[in-house]
Amino acid sequence: MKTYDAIIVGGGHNGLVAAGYLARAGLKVLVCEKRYVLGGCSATEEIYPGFKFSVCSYVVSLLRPEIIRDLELPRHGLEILPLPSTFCPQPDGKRSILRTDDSMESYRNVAQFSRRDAEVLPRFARQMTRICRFVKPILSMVPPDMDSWNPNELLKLLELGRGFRTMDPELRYDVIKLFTMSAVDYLEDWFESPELIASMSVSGIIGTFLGVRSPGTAYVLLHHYMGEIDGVFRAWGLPVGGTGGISLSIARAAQAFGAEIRTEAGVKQLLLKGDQVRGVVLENGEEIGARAVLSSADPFVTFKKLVPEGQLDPRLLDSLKHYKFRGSSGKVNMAVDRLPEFTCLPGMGKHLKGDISIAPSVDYLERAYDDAKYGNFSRRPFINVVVPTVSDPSMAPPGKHVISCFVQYAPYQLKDKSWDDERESFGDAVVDTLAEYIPGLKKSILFRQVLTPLDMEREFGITEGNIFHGELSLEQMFFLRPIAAWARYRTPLQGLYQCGSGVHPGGGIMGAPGQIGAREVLKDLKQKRPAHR
Amino acid sequence: MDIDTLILGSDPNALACAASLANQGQKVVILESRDHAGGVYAREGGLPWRTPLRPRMRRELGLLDEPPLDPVAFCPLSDKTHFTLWQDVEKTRQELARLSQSDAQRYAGFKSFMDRMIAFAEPLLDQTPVGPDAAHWASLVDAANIGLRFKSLSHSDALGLMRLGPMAVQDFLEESFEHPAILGAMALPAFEGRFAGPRSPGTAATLLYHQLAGPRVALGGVVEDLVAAGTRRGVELRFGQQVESILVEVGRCTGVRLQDGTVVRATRVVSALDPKRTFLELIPPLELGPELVRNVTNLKMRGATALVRLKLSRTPRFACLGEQDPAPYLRGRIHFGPDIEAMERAYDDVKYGKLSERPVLEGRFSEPTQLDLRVKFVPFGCSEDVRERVLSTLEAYLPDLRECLQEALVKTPSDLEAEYGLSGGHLHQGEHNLHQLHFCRPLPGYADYSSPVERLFLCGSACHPGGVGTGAAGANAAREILSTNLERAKSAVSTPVGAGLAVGTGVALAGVGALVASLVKKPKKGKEAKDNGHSKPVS
Repeated sequence: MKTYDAIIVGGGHNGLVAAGYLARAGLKVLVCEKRYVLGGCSATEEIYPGFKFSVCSYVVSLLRPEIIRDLELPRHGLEILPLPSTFCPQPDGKRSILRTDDSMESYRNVAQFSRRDAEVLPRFARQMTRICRFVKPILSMVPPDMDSWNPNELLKLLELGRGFRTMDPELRYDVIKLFTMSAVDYLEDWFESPELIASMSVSGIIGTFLGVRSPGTAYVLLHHYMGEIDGVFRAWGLPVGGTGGISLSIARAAQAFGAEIRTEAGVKQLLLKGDQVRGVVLENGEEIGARAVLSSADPFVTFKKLVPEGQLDPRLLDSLKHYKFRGSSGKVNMAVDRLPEFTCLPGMGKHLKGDISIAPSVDYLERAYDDAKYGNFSRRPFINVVVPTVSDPSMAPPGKHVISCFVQYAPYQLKDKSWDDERESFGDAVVDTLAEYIPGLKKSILFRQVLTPLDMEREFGITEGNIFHGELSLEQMFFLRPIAAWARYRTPLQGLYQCGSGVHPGGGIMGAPGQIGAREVLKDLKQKRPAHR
Repeated sequence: MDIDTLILGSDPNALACAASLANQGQKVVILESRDHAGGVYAREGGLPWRTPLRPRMRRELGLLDEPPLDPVAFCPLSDKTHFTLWQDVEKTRQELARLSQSDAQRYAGFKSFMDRMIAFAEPLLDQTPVGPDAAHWASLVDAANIGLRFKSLSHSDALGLMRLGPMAVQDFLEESFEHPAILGAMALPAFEGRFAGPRSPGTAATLLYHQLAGPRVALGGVVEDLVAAGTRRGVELRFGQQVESILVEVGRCTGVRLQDGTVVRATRVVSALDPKRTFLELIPPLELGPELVRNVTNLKMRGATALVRLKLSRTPRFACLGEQDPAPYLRGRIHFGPDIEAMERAYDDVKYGKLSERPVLEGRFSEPTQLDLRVKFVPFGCSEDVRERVLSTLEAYLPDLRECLQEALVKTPSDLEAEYGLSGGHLHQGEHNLHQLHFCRPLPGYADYSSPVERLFLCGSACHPGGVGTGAAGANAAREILSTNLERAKSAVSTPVGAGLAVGTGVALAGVGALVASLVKKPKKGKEAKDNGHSKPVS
């Protein structure tokens, strides 16, 4: 039996980051990826000849700068183009909200809706950035053990408390509000224009089964100001070559440090001796030994599928039952033969290079959520559109384009229906909605791919199609993610670790779970003698 | 004679505050704009029930204990069946078993978890909130006390409490129950004072919050009792007094001016009115500063409950009870129960400013011929016919209702604002949202019942602990006013040295508190890790 220091289950960006860090520390590492291509949900695939698609995730913002630095990702081909604008066309076909990297341009545009809001906007951005400074360090920290005695743990808690205590009281109140309010309620404290509020509130609902008026959604607004590219706050980016470009650059970095990566090598189960992990069995029956196994799969897959039945305390499985996945989003990818042309802003422009939202009003978004609550997909959904080929022409043949639509809501559980029957009518709802803003869209479509949450579960192995490996709601964050007792990357099985988005700090192309997970493995392994070498 | 304290408004909080202050020998005058005391809590007000006065206050004022309502909730269902939640666990379990065996089995466990949570959280109601700004010895002792009590919870209870806070009540209840009608009946208190539905995060906390003060009791008599207790101690009530403004001189409150031009001077003024009225209508904005004005303006006070009083010629027949005598079921609240999904749909409508097709009705027969109802969700400025919607919803449960109906009085949120001066028609002077609770209630920095104006205090349900523990806010405010501690600390903080000292000792004490708390916890650690660590014993 071949033996490694560490085997990583899943070749998504978190798994690859973990591999990179472990290999960099001199360990013998193997990554096992089930699919034919690396990247998991951040993979680029040519599903229609000549067109490359970021099939699932499509933009990047939170990728930790220290990971880029430590793994020297730019040297391995990482290149991220900033998204210069956020664009929200209005249903009247004339007006649109366009906020860009040029503050005068944003001012002029927003002032058409409300002069007061245009003036408040920079102040709002400053406030968010200030709060980010408090929240950011939390992203790279191992959640404290609330039950521990270790002085280091207590210090961590004290440090957090002190950070909070020494904050300006006004800022502190805003932190409390951000963590508990709904996106709309919070924005209404600042702004008056309903169009602007609707266009900004959508960042609060991405990936969750909540509406813009549901408390708890304001927090995600903050994430939009936490993005960091080349040290510049508040920037979202489009990776060159699609999100697969990120995964591949991490994979190349890991390989350069000596990691081995295998695709089409799905892990079937863990090899155990007592409650000690000894390695893995692949789907083809091959057995591989390891001192540590890191699972970048979600908690359900890790604990229910990888671990043989009967090995875990029933109470853990019971807590896992209460962990909410509830996928709520779908994806529609299209290949088109011409540039999409918006009625309200025809022709080429900065608005096409950025992030485009179909979010005409708060009630529209809330109604889309109401549909999903009762087990239907939204007939008039919220759509987040990106046309990557405008900035990165390498993704499609000359003159042709790729349109990526992130769609909400598409609940995993449909009432009395199956996604296999509803897939195309869901796709039609998306195209119909978009066509109201881009009249020529339907005629220009060469190819359409519809991914429902069920498809994502089947194809990418994410339970219930939740893109974050479990909802990012307050009761599932920090030391409660995924389960209170096992939130610190370890598991009840000796040698099994979690390093996916199901652990702190959660989903998005952040890499932090992989990085911190690897760090914890190294800590543990350092205390033991290497098995070989 | 000089007035020590002038209190604006006469709801139970104002009366409790007045009685407590008078108990300590202060000359207290209450100014009420109507011709009777109690505000919306008066018999004429139409609230069907309330939470009991805090035990400490009852003792202090020599008031009698108030027996809880039993049954807790009687729930007729639309299919002409019914079930009842009793005070007694076993009796309730049998009721639930008719609907769902598994729910019945899990009820006792759920109830005992909630009881433990209540035991932990209830003392908070009688404490002035300790926030991150806390810098006094007294508040740090309180903080250490809370920390110790938290640490003495079992591991799973502590985690349970932390998870509970941000959860949606539906998610929280679904961990124990499955039957939609049971879920509905259990969830109902979570929407009291909220503009939220079963799936809105943060509502599990409100569910707990509304159980802290104990089961609901009958409304009758509380205002009269408090007035009597106050009057015995020399509190003077003046009715028909319309306050025009609060007088502020050089940052210090000196009294009020009435609409007829009379000036009433007092050493201090305590407002039981909501913060929007107190700060935005009665005080010139210059005295408060833009930041406070902004925070007050942004307070969420979206009333969504209407009060309906039906006067009947006799007790109507219950479809679900047939010929059975309804009397034993009608002592507590009656949940004319939509299931949990119907509640979510009722909330959906109010989001879009509409009255729901099937509003959520929670009623009580305050007399055999008088049915008082809280109706949810009714939007502010509702133009639809609330009366008709309520009657047609009730008819499914009370088929002969219209025959015995004599009169229906309806107070929508807009009526509540116009008649009782409750901004936004909100019964609790501010939503019980997470960011408007505890040390953030009514506003951060002023959770100690003080205000930016010296010698002006707040004591209404806008303050901690909100509308749940009737009278608690008033009693806490009285305590804070009496403790010279507050007034001294206010001046101490104004000097940098004093502030530094206070913060220094605060941090030191917090450290000691944490250390003590951890020491107490330590011996349990080894055992607990095994108990709750989910690890499988090594085979």
